[in-house]
Amino acid sequence: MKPPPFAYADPETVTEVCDLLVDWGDDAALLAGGQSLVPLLNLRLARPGLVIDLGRVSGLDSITHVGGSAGSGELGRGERESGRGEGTAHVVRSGAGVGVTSLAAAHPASGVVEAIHWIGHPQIRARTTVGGTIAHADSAAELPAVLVALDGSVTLRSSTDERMVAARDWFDGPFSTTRQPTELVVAVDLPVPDGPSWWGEVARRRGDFALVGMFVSRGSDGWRVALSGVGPISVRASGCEAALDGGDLDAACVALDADLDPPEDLHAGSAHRRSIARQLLRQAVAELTPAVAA
Amino acid sequence: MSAVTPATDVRVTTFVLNGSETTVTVRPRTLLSDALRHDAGVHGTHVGCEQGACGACTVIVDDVARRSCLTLTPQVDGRIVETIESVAGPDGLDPIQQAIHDTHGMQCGFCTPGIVMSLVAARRAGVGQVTAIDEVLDGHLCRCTGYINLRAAIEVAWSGLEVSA
Amino acid sequence: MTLLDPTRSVTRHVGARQERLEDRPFLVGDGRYCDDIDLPGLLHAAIIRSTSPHGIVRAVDVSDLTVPVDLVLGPDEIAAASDPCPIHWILPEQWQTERPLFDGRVRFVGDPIGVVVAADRYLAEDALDEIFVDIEELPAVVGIEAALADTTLLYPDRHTNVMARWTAGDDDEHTDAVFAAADETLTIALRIGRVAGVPMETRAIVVDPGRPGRDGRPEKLTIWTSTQAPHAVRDAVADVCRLPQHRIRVIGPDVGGGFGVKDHAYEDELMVVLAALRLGRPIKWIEDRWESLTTTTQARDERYTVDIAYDRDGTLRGIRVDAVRDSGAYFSIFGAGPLFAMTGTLGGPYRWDAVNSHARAVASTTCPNHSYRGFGQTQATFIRELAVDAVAAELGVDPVELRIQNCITPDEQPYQLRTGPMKYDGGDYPTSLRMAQELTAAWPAPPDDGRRWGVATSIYVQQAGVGPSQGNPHVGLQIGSWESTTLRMERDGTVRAYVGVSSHGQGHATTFAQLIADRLGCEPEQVEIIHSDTDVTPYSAYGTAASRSIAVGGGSAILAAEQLATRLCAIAAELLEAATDDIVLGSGAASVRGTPARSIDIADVANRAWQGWALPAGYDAGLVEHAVYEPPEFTWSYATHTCRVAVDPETGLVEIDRYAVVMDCGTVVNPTIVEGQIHGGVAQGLGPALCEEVVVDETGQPRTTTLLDYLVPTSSLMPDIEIAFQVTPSPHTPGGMKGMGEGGTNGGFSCVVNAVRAALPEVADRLTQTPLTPARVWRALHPDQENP
Repeated sequence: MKPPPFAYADPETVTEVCDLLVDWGDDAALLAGGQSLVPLLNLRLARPGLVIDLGRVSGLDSITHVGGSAGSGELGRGERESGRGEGTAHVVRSGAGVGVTSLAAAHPASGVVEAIHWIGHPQIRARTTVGGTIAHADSAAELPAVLVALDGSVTLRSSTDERMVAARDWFDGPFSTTRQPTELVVAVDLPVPDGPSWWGEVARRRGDFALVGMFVSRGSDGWRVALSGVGPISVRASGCEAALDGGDLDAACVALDADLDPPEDLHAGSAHRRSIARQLLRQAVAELTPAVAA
Repeated sequence: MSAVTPATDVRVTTFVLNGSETTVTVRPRTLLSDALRHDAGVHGTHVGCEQGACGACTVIVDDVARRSCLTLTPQVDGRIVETIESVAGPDGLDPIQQAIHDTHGMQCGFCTPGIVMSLVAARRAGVGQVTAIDEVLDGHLCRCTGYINLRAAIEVAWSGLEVSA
Repeated sequence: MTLLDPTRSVTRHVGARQERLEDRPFLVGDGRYCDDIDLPGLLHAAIIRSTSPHGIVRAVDVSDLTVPVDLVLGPDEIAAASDPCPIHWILPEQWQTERPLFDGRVRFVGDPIGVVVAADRYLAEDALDEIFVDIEELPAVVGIEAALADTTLLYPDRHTNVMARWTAGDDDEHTDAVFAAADETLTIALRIGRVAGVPMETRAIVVDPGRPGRDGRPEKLTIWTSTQAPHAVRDAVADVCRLPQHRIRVIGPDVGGGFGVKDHAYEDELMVVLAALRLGRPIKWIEDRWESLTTTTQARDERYTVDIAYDRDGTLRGIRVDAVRDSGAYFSIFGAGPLFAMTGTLGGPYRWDAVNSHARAVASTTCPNHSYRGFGQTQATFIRELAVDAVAAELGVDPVELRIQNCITPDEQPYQLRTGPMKYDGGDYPTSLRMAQELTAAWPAPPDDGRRWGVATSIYVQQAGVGPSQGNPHVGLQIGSWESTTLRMERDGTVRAYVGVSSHGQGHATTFAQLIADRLGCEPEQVEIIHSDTDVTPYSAYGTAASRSIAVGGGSAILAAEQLATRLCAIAAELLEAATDDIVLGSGAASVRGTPARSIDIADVANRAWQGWALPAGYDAGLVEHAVYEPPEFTWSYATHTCRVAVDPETGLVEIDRYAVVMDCGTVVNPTIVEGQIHGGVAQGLGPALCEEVVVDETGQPRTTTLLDYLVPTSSLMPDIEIAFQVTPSPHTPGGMKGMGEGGTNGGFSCVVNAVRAALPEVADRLTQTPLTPARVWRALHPDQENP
């Protein structure tokens, strides 16, 4: 399982990347962390003419502090447990750009942090980039669901243009986004909610792709619910959100069923996934409601 | 326009390997696991899946444990790479290696170097014992031991370390 | 059979938790596995494989090949240059007694048909992309029902896809009578999913044809391969590649796990040998993980109907199974052996009036199905223990008490099996179950957390120490299963032992050294175990498999060591002017029993022997002993496994909360090693119980082709395991070892599945197909939901 032949470039500026993309278009593959692309190369399921290694591109390698003081790169359980309800200290390797808007210390975006914590194993997570994950658009992954839940956005640059794409317009199919072949993701914005948030996931084994993953937050603008693993793209469960805003959890579960059309695959069927989603919703609401009441 | 290495060309990659500057000249698509084993002369890093799933190929790059089978060789240009061969010291085995031996945490030995490297990186990063067992070890597949003695090895190796729980 | 004379040597290493002697190189990255071997001018191979599950190969088109290659060896050349590979196990109604490397057809996705050789593996795979195999497609045959329908035949000159068929145990008339006379009967239909062995090191071979001899063929063909049985590989290379055996050397370097799947030479490996012979250059082939999950032989994949007859007072009367095994595209060397082992060991530890099986092996367009840890005994344990649990549930009695009631007792040993001319070789099954009850009684009550909790106990009796060679042909097995050891003490008293079995993680370098050191009065560190080189290690057709290494291989090592000890004592007696029987060995010296001052260093004795000085009458110079151990009987290790699981009814996920084992494998040479084998064995039972499954879709395409789809257990799935030992030495083997390497899988698979069934008794009748994935568990709990 060796990669097929490809040309290779490791530019040092965004401008150079964009110039390469003008020449190569969709025959180029962008290498961020490599945890998704290289497995595809090794199976020869991806056969790009050029691999553009983003590892040395300046301006994409910023380290972002989420919620307050600096911390180490390891998202360990100890850190996560201490992070609940307090200012957390986590560092996310941003790779191809994370711009996380400023957070109040009282709302540590624990749902975002928790979602990140469920990405693979530490050895995978250390190489994962937010930009790469958002561009790869695997609907079973955590961060696309977070992006969709938070109405985040993706900033793209080409040799001629820079534009921002809202989360709802970003994912357009399995492993597919509205990125044009000549564009590079240079920033991902995850507007942290102004209330508590939660991530939950059910997987066959720890670190596997989720059967179902769910992000829930409750802010001043209401509930937000988004799921991974339940369709070709991450799903924003808007019917469910409306029912939660109306205070009716049972109605929210019914609405959640209607919001989802989960696939059948090797690992779970669609009714099974719906059942898991309902269970996650009940867990999320139980966890987030006392915090709001306080 | 930045330089593009054509598919048929080779490329020089220079990095620090186990403390010594090393140069390999390989095609850019060459996986780091292969370059280490067949061009840099260290074969202790093993290849188990080439999908990042099994962890046998784990090495340390700039203090971070990562899968060498998911790394293209040029990605480590200018970086500091450590493989299993660097772990034991002149005075003997590293406590992690010794613990794996003492607890019978190894049978066929194929998955062992990757596990050692993950644990060495975790210890260096101040990761606690619980996380090392619950998360770091979970990033490795072993078919021989059933993991029980490996968990015991981590407890032994971590006892006496001053890290958070 | 003579056993250890306990007064001959005063050292005691057997039974100690001797730390492994072989670990250091592996810990520091200095293991020497196949892919670590490098040779001048080494080339690299990739295998041309079928992408179709079934078809006739019309052509191999290389006209688009631009990648520089050294050789493309196609199927026609392979067929012309080779003879068919013999199948060692021929069962009733089995027509397939040999397998050509290529017969014009392909019968599973991944079926090898040729070899590409290039400067490195990257280029070889590039060449594969440019080689087109023209296959006239035939319909795929996937699954037992499709295979039995015989609508499409894999072997059209046969009238059926059934590849072997037999009846085992009591005859049908007797069995029917027992069932008719019993108070009650139950019938349960079961399916066991297909699994893959997944050793962490994939298959590998390096072939060095060396230089041509005077007849143009290699003077010496040297092969390194990741194998459990180097002599079996050598036999196959000689037979298939048409070479004289004395010019073939097969070496097993360090091997990264085998578990049964590396017990023979594969077709693609033999094709690589042919390519090396053709080119006259050394060639390396390393299987990649995609190939490992689709072309390395797989296991289980059986359908059962089990009937159990019992009386209302709990007496078990009869057990009857109709079994069909999906053998895949063709038989490998042990044919339908695992199914045969299932039918032979179905009775387990219980007293039955009838044990009967009807067995069929059927072909399908899937990967060949062959040996894997357990070899049918995993399935026998599972079927039987599940049925006994069902009886307990029907009667409303404690399932462990029901077992104890029906167990063969020690005073009934040796117990004649109903399924063959074999007898259990001693053991106390009721006490095993009682000890398990004590262990589990100490478990704290489970929390009330909304999950469903279940406990199950499984007991198995494992046929091990394979086995008496004379019996093999009677069951269709064409190879012998004895073992031998050549033992040489050097002139400084250190020892080299050449053994026929191979090691791929079992710790033979340590355990065999313990056995030998005890007899010679030296330390294990002074004994080196040499294995896996057909030029120097003794012949073993079977290799390391069938839980036989310590019992049979170790048995031969003990015999050789006792012979050597006798020789040492005779020479020392001559020097010390004492009787041979009065000499004891220990701490590197030979001394007169009772007067330790009269002693001589063993090194002195050894040197004298090697120089030939003043030897007793009848003793030649030298210190080499060779001993052959032909087992008179099988051995029968046994164990009780108990586990407690928690099932989340909303997700279908299962957690194994507690696990305990009571093990009797006879003499325990090294408890740490045995515990390690239990741990690893249970893991390979737990995986197929909950998460490991090879999936092939109805078009014949494999769906579980990476380790992200084929899920082997990780640490978080494995519970800690409490282990207690009983020790009932086998009366048959030197040293009393029984062998137990596969047993953990037998117990693990059975008790985990049965514990889930116990946790969900109201839907147990829907939990009959393994693995019990979250999807299957959930569907069993929610059968009314469409498209779960």
